[in-house]
Amino acid sequence: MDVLVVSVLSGFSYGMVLFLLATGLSIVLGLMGVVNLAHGMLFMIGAYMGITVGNATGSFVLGVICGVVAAGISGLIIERGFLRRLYKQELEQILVTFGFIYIITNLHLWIYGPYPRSGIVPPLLKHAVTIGRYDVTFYRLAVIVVGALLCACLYLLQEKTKIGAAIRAGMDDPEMVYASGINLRNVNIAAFVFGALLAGFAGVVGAPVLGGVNITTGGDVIFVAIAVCIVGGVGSVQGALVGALLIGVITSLMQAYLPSVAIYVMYILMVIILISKPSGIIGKTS
Amino acid sequence: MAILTVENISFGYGGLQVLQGMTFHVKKGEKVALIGPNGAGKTTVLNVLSGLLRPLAGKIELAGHDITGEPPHGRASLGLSRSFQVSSLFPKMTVLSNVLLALHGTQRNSYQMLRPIAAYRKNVEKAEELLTSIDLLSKRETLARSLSHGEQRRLELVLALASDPAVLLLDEPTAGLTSDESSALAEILRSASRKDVAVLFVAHDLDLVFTVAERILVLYYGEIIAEGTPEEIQRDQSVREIYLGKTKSA
Amino acid sequence: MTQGNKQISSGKRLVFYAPVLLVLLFFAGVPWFLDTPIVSLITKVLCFGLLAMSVDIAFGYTGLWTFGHAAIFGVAAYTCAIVVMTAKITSFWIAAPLGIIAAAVVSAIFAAVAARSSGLYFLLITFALGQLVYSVAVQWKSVTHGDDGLWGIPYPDIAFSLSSITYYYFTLVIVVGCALLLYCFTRSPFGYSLVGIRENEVRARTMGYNAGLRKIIGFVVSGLFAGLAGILYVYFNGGIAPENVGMAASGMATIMVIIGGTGTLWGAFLGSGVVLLLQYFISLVTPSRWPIFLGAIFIAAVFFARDGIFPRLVNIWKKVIGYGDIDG
Repeated sequence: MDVLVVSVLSGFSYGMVLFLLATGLSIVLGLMGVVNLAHGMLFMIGAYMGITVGNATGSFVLGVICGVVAAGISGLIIERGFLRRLYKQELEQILVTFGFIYIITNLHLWIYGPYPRSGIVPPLLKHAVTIGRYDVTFYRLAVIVVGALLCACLYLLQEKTKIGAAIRAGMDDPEMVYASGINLRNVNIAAFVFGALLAGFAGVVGAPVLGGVNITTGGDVIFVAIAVCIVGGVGSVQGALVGALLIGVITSLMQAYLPSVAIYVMYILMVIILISKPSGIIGKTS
Repeated sequence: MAILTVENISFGYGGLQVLQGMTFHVKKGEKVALIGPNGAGKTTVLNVLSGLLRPLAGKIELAGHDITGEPPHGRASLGLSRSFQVSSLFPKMTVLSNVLLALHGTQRNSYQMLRPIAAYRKNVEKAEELLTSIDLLSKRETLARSLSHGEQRRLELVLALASDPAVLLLDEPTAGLTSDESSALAEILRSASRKDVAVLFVAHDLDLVFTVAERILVLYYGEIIAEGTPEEIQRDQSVREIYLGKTKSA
Repeated sequence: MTQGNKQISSGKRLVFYAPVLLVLLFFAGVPWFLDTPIVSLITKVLCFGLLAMSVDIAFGYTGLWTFGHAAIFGVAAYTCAIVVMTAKITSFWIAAPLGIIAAAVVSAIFAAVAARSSGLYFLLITFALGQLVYSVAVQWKSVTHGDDGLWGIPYPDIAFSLSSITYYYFTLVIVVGCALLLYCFTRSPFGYSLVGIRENEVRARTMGYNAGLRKIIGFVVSGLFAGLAGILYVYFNGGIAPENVGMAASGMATIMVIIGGTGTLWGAFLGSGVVLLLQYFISLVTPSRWPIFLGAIFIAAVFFARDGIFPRLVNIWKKVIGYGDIDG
């Protein structure tokens, strides 16, 4: 019983990290039709920067801020420098961002070295709550809470604000949005950068949940983010949430009960969804 | 002797009913025009007949076979061929390749994986004949996308004719052509198709309709509201109302 | 604008195709004139050249955005390696067909699952399936030895034992043979139909082509050659490891096709040569920073070589010898 509870909690915290990572990717894909394989790199940039600064200064908050900013700047460079020239060319976007994966991974290896880094945790949250034979750190519970709060904020942003409406409308009919006088291009750039900031945040905050980061994290994590988008549905906060929690919890349960299967979970889910309902659980059926 | 029979076909999507209770037939060798105002569903009819859309109800029979559930490629092998309103060519392939593809589509050797397509001499000769008939032989190595609009429409027609179909569906064959080009195309249609090819064509060009068609079907909001010879249709009151609006005098 | 049909003299034609002879002579002479590491490199180019050509069939000709071909390559390689190691089979003619059958099965599964998708979704499905295969390679330690991979695979017997130099010639003969087969395939009615389906699937279907079935068949044909490439590679390399199976390897194969020229077949081979040669020489200078250059090559290829090197080379050659029409 305690295994179940702890696995589910673990799964939720992992799912929240995935949600924060994948939301940016999902919105950008749905809004701009841009396939950014380098999105996972933003997670890694945020994590490494945040951990390094956090350890150097002893401040968790400072680490988070630096990680987020680093990711945001990197996202801006990728979008403005490269992706803006590849509008509507999906294959080209895939290949260019693929190239970035190689470059950024190797740069990190060069700058930070090959050894894995464990995430930073504020001392307050290092304590744990005991459930049966297991300890669950307050940090993980905090991640769930913070994730849920951010999710609520993002949902409100999507549904109740003008910019959210512009984004939703931009997914259906960009011309109308332009015609209404809204500068959709700026909205798109803002959405892209915001997604990058979220990914960076997910990186710093999520590193302890993932058990640390290493050189392959950026490449590994993009697969999961894509799986989240496919399973949950592209283009909405709720889609990213559903996909992330589903993958997070099921993977966590598998790790507890059938560890050899855990690694396959997201791919199998992806293939099932792609065959039965390609637009994803929350996606619109075209 | 009907070669194509359509019984009670209805089609719609979302909340929209596009075709309802459509029933008509085309006899062997008959030239039938399908006319009607924009949005009446004419292209949808052709899409349902060629198998690109599934009807919600009804039955389609071709040369005695029930083809209602048959996919497009199956219908082609039974002798159905179709052209498109917006030229639907293979843009980055040469004109000659376009025609060769049209010829091989209904032939058994289309699964051949080793012998070059150019080695099928009979097909190459037939292709060159067809291209000569539309005056495009000199452009046989040109990419299809580099042709002018008129040339593309001619190629479009010939691709549909190539397979020697029993039933030919044409969607606005003269769309976008000058009146000279249109008459030229009508002439090609007349001479290139065998006498026993049944043709169902959608057209806005009433000149084309009244010169080529033996029978006319008038489609209005998904229903056939009139059917008859060109003279009968010209005199039909409801047809005139659709096209000309209610007038005080005839 | 009008392309005249000037008759090209057979003499001119011979000159046009002369470089082919030169290339063949070059490959034949490699072990005589170049050092062993270069011979190794060229052998690798042959293997990956065949893989790239197979990817071009699926991607360039049929228009299927495959990102899982490395998995097919890998399945054949692993099957062959396992058969050699566990059943101690030394004959190429027994181990290789088993590997190719495995490749065919995997290709058929990939194609059947992805059949009704296209473009981005096809890519994602093949990528997910490819990663699934990669995960199996890493996880199924009892059979695949996980991350370590399977090693100690000796050169095969083809009637007699092969050694490093003779294996090179064996690979050369097989790859040239396969290239010719693929070339015939692209000029056949079936090959044309694949291009037609890519160019305009709706029209192809109404002309009588069963597009869904043909895409699957085309993909499986492509997979057969990808599998053969994997088998040739595992003997050359002495073994196989998961890194040859994953998304990175699939992406690399696709980039080779694009750099060389999508849909030109020979371009794919050229692309593999370019990428592997660049990798070799740049790694000599900065072995640990090579990935940065590789990434930069990907990006540069997209922005500057979108149509590929091969068509440009052909055009330049045509201009140089004054060969009839030159495509714009």
